[in-house]
Amino acid sequence: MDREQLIQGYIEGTLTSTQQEEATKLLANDAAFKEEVSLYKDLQAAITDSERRTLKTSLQELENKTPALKKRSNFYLIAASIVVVLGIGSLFMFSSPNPEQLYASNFEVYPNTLKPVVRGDVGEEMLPFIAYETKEYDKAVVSFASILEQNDDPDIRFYYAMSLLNDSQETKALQELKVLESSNTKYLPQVYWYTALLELKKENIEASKTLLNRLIEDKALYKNREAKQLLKKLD
Amino acid sequence: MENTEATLQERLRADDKKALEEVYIAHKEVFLSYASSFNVDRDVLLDIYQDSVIALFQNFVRKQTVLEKSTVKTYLFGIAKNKLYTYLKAQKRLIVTNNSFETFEEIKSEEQELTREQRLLAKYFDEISTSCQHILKLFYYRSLSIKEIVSMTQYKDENTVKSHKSRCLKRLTELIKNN
Repeated sequence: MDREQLIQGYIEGTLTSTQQEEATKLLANDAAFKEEVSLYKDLQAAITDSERRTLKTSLQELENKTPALKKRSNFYLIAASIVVVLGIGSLFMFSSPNPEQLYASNFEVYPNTLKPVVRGDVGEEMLPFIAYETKEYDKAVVSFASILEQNDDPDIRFYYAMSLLNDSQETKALQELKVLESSNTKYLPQVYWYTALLELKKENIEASKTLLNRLIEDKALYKNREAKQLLKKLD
Repeated sequence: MENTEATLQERLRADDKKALEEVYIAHKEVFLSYASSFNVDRDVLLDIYQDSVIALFQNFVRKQTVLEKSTVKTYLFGIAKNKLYTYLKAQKRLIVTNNSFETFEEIKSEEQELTREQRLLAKYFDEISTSCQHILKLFYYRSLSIKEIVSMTQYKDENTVKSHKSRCLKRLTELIKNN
């Protein structure tokens, strides 16, 4: 057993009596050993404290996201809980990150904020949004595409891209998002974020980093923190 | 039921953050309603509740706690009661005796004040790379052996873990020295 393991065992109280004796002897006679033991304890206290702060932040975030849910419809409740769970999950992705995992822990379905579905409103232009909200993404794809043929609205195109993405048509979604990068959509930060995630999934780490940096530079609040965290993990 | 409780405790010991959230959500409303008789702001109560859940979680992770005669809930409410009473005493507030916490035994969770060295370590720990934080956490915080670390990470063997860990430790102490 090497010194470090001996120190760990000594502090955790898991040593055999012979080992315990050895440690006690070293502690009395070996100044360096004594110092290593005290460094171990200091590190333990420091990391516990750092971890406690991280946990506190994540519980506060969980809390901040919860109360607003009460007023919304059921869809938002479900979507938002997924957001919370994934969001918190992403905070905890400390283990050596692999692109697929990072993608999964950061991905969440983007809610319909463009044309909220209100009961009784079944106008034609609402149909794709209703499909989107009820997670019938294949229907949403077809429906958004037909709207775009008549009216090339970048915000609608964003939801078309989101529908493709949620319908697992990732390559097509990426193409649409790339078109949107140079458009005047109000969802530009979202475009950066989802493009970054898709690039990440395809293991184009550098491309993903560039987009995350662009998102941060954009100074929009959307995913700013998450982008910084993700960048840190990719470095 | 017993099985779920055992599984939950196992997940808490394994530093499973989802389990932490589940515990947080599962008992929050009950805690708030129990504590409502004390006439304390909701924000303060939530703060106390959060600290209690974290204390419980860190005890599981660090000390590998196994509750045999008690449950996570009882343990949590024991800690929360202690924290709430400490707060009320500090505020010189009256603690009504006939309250919903009566059946729970107070559990003191030890959160020590950091020494100057520990504060510095904590500060610079937040600044080292994620992979360094990760490995130091596994060893010093979760007290996993080098062997266990090899089995649950992508490190090749024990020597790789050891050398990575000592590089990270060196990086951390150097940061402190240079600042």
